[in-house]
Amino acid sequence: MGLQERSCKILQLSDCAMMYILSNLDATSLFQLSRTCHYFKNIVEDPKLWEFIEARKEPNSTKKVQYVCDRIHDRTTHILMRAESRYDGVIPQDTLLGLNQLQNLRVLALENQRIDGKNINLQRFPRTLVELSLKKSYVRNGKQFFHGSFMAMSNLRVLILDECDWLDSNFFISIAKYPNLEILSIIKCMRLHFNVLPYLSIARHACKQLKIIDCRFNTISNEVLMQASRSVMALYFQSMSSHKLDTGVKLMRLPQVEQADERAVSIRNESLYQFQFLTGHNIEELPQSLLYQDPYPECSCKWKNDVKNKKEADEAKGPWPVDDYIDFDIPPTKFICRRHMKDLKKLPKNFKNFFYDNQKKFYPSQSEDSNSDDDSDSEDNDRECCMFGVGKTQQMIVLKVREADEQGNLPQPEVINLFDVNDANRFDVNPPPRASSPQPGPSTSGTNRQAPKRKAEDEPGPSSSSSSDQQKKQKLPPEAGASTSSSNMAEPSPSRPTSVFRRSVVNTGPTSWSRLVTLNERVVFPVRAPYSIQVHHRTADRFDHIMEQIRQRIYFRYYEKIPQDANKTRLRRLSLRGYRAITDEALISIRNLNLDLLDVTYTRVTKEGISNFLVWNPNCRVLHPDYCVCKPRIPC
Amino acid sequence: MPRIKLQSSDNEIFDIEVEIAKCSVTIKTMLEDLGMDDEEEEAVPLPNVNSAILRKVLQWATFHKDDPPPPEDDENKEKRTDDISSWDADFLKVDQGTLFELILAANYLDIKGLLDVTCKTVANMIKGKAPEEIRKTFNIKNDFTASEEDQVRKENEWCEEK
Repeated sequence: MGLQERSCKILQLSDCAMMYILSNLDATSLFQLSRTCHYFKNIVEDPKLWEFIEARKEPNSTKKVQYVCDRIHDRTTHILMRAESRYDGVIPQDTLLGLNQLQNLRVLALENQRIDGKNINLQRFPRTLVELSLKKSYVRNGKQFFHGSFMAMSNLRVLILDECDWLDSNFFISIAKYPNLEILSIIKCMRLHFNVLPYLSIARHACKQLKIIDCRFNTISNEVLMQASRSVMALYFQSMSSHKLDTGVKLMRLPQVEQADERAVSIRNESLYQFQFLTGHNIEELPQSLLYQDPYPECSCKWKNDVKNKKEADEAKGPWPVDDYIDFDIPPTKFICRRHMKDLKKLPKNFKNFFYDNQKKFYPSQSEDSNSDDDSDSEDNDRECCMFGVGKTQQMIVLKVREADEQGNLPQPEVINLFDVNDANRFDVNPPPRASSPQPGPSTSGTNRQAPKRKAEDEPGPSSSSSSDQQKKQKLPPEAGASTSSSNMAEPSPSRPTSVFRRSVVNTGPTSWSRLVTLNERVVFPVRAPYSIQVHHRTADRFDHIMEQIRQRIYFRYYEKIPQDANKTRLRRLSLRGYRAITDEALISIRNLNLDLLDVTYTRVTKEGISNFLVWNPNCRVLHPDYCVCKPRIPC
Repeated sequence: MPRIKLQSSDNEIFDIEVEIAKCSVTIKTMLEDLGMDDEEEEAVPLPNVNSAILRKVLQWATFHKDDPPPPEDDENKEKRTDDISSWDADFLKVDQGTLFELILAANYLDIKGLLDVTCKTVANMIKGKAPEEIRKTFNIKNDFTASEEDQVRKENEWCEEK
């Protein structure tokens, strides 16, 4: 009797309460429930329960799939289904054909299916689709399947093609036309191999919205990395060989991949050189998705607590006082540019010694092969020295980019007061009177032969008439002072007078006194780009770091002409897991990016390299055996 | 802190803070519609809830009184049932009869948080089970005819193979 009473309990609930319970169930559970008794069989028919269909759990027998398919109705918004195998529990073709009638469908997952592109074509899918997954599915005639699909896929944000062996490189051309694609996941697509460059370069210019590229366990990783556009926020790569380390399963490669040149398929330090010129600007949040699983969810290892404790200890110390690190009462000749090395003998002795002493520090990896590089540059007989220093008493950073004259006399340092720098509008950039006043510069140390020569070169080029040049010369300083955005500098500059030193100062720092000091000097630099030096009050514990940053910017600007708008990237997350060719050198290339997450597990990056990297990116979560040891999620 | 009296179906009086009682949207609207006098001595009758269940409900409401309001249901999000807090999980370690009565009470009193967590608990009891296991869990009588049953059995065979 007691048993009888108990059995009634769940059935005694009101239909309304029962619906609450059922609304928490996925389609598989509803299917199972429908087979327990008549009451449930009838109540689960409610169409409201079949708007969000998550039917990927087992069993995925043909019968269940049929049951679920029969309940798809025109208000269904989500259909997530997976076949047991490509022969069992596959969605019938009629249902697939019927999908185009569903005008509310937003998310569609057809996993492990068998689809023939001859009959089923993406262009017939509803235009409302926002997310689409074809994970593990096999599509015959894939070309036809994608053909002309860009209209139907105009709202698509997320496309998941994990483990699609059939995927051919030219599918990039199809998806390049999807205007709103934000997330592309192509994990373990074995047939994509290393000749995708032409396709990728087209896709790069087309997919303007693409924010996440998950390209783990692919042979095309290197090319994707090289071709990734600046708008991409997350790039996930992992070498094939490290698959076993993470999952215990060895990844099988296709024969043609085996033969591929290892250098072509694996990511190397050189692949990251492109980032040397870039800085990060991280403003957006990563896009969210229902189907795409973030491979790096929040840290769950003990590293999280370490970071927290460190942060708290840091905060307990209070803000960093300015005087704490601007504490250099040294001669302002601290640095010389590399190009000038062969002219060292002309330099004053104390400067020369200083340079030799610090050469290793300034050019750690390049001092050996410097000769070959110098040869290539020898035709350009620009001469310049870059000197930086800080006077303790005045609390000033002194930035100077100037030529040395034939006797090797260095011009007097010019000073920028940090406190003036803070106020961009107040800081009057080198007003004309100063240029003619007995200040150092080409006007006084003008005995050198370069300055007049360059004057002669420049004058006919940038300006048509000398009178307008004069006019503009007067106008220039206020303009330059107001140019708080770097875009101003991008335009060709006919108005810039020759041999007038020009600096502009920008303050856009996020923290209270982090400053951007930009410096622009006509005589030395062919590229009219401002040199931004961002000083974070946490990171700049040693002045060396500022110096290094300045050196890097100027050094690379000098050798490479980079378009102005291209020196920023949105990249926030980068995974290089398992690429053994990656060393500490790679970290140097990417340290200006201000990354949120970097995975260098199973690479040759050392603990020391990471700790240097963290000085530049104190908020970056680094995955490495000595740091965060969380494992990324690998969809299976 | 103003207080309010609630009367259960078996005539037990509960004297509690108004703030806690207002977890229940039913009581909240009742108070707002009728106007609330501080000197009100009359107990609010709750004829659908017995004292044992009401005590449980109030225990839950007291613990959760400072919770932020539950987020609106996002259609785009997959419904999760594994996000039950450990306190709630312990609180709901009760027999099925009590659990279902809590659902009915939460439904009647319109306490969304409690309704959510109890329904999720029941849903978790259903999830991942074959029909026969579900029947066993809830003592559901199989009222299918033999031919219908045949079909079900065939399915089960397949499941067991798995």
